[in-house]
Amino acid sequence: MQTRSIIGCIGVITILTLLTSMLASATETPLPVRSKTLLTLHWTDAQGAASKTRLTLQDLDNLPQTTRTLELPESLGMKGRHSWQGVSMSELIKLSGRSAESVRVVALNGYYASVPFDDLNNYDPLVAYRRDGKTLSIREKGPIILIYPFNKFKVLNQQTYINRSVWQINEIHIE
Amino acid sequence: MLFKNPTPSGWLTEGLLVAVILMAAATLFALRITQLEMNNSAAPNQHHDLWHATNITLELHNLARVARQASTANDPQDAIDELAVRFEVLRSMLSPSELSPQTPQTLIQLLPNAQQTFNTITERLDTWSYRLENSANPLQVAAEVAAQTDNLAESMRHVVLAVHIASTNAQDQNRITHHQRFAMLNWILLALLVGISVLVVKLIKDRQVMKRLSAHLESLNKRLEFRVSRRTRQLAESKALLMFILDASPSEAALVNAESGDVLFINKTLLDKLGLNTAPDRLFLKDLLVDTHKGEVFVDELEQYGRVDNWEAQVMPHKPYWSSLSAKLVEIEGKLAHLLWGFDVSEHRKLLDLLETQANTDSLTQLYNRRAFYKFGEQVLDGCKRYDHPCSVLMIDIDHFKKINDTYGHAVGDEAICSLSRTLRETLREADIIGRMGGEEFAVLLPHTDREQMLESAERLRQAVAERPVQSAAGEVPMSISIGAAVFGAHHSTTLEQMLVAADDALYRAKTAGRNRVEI
Repeated sequence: MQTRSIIGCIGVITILTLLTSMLASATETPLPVRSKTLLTLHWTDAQGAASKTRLTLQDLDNLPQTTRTLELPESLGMKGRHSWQGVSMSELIKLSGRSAESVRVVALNGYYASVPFDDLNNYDPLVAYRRDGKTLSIREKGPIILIYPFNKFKVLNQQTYINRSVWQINEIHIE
Repeated sequence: MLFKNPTPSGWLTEGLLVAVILMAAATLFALRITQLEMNNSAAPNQHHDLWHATNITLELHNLARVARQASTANDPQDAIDELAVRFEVLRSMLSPSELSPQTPQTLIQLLPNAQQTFNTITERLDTWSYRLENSANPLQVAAEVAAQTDNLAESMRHVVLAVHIASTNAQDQNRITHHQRFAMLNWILLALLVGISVLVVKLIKDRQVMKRLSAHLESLNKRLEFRVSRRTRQLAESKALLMFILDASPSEAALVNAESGDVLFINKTLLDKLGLNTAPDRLFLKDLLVDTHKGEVFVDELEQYGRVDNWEAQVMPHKPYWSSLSAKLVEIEGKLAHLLWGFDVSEHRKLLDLLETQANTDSLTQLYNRRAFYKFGEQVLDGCKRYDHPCSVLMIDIDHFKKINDTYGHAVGDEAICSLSRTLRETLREADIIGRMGGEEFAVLLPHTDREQMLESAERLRQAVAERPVQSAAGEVPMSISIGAAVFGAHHSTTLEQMLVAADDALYRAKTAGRNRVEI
């Protein structure tokens, strides 16, 4: 009885997987080109002038990589346990050569959130752009998602940190 | 006294028990409600449908702006790329996973008009997206987008409104649910508070009762202890007194276990008689008696009748004396015991013996007196009759005794009588019974003696007297006796009295015949 139900389950899952992959291929958008700008980093330099740098996939890949495997809170709408690969926010800020009080993370959809500097020290959020080894399309909430280590810190399980977990990131402002 | 009305108290206790059970059930229920709330609030789960609908609207306006800019842009390719990104962003907002992050159904999905609007926008987007990529003139597509997005934004405005109303309603529904739950918790807690208060009151009351009870009990205990100690003291005193009396008693007293012989008590007098300084471990009554058989009979009788009174027996085998023993079977601490009283009667015995001897003996001659002669003579005569043996009797009288008395005085008369008694004793056998019948007259019973033997004995006697004068201060005084004899065969059923009468007759004849002779 149990074996039969398990076999049934496996069958359903296989069919579902096939369907999703077919759908995905039908609506697939072109993956970001390696030379295309993925993320723009804005800051104010020592002289008070606004500076920025554009980072391509290539540039990001050249930075020190971090991988975290965890399950995000349900309200973020990205179910399942995934391996997230990207650059630590602290590493990214080093590119500016400035110390930051907070970081404003801006998304393509107009959403933005301020990440205080304490978060960088305490939780070391990850600027992830690969999920299970693959880059993310805009429909998949890509190209970049800020991943807090929800699995390591119980205190992160509140709306404040869910609000700071920005997806579809395309700009980061060091302030 | 402390519980004047036990029934209401019992009723109260049972009621409280039921109340406690109800309280426990209510607590469980409250706990369940709290757990449900806790689980619901375990993770952040805010609905952001309104934000979402608004965001889609804003994005539509943004799309319109980008599309308009594209038609007038210097670098059409960048504008087209930007437009494609906007398509993707808007499309990602409309994807089902985005609309329902946690639950399969959100408010938006419950609103048919909203769903309709979303479908329309999705279809348009897909069409534009495809055409933008494949059309030869993307700028025309951009112009088309710019023209149509305003309408779509307008329909989204309705959706935002509908979502706002539905969302506030849902929030209010949530509020009502919460209010109801907290109201219920409030009542349960209130009931618990009341229950606990009643319990506390009851506990305090019980405690007061307990205090009163324990105080009462304590006073009772003290009184009891006092009584017990007084009683113990009294008992000890009376026991000591009893022991003193028993120890001081001239009687011997002992209390021993009937079976084991363990000595429970023994008094000083008995210890002295036993020749001991301290009480022995064991003592058996039967061993106290000199005659072992009699000892066993004594104990048997004691066990059969429960008591023995005034048994006279010789006790103390190592140093016998006569004692009057009384014993009683008693029960001491569930075990049978023998209580023995002994009273030394040896002095009494001695006195009795002396009295008897005195009663049977003639004080002058130490021979049997008349009473004793008859008493023992009858016994001997009976013995002779039983064995068919002959028997003889002699009556002896001193010749001219009055003359001796008158001539030499009474002292010499008494000496004559004593002399005759000595001669009688020396001459006759041990078995012969000699009695002084009165004055100078004596009687002798010769058992197992026939006529010949009797005559021989009588003659020998007469001669012996005749040959031995009485020694007195005035010199030797000659003396003779006359003897009257009687003999009877065993077949004659003759009494001693008859025989004596016959002998007396013969004595008379001897006197008349001239004295100093034997007549039959």
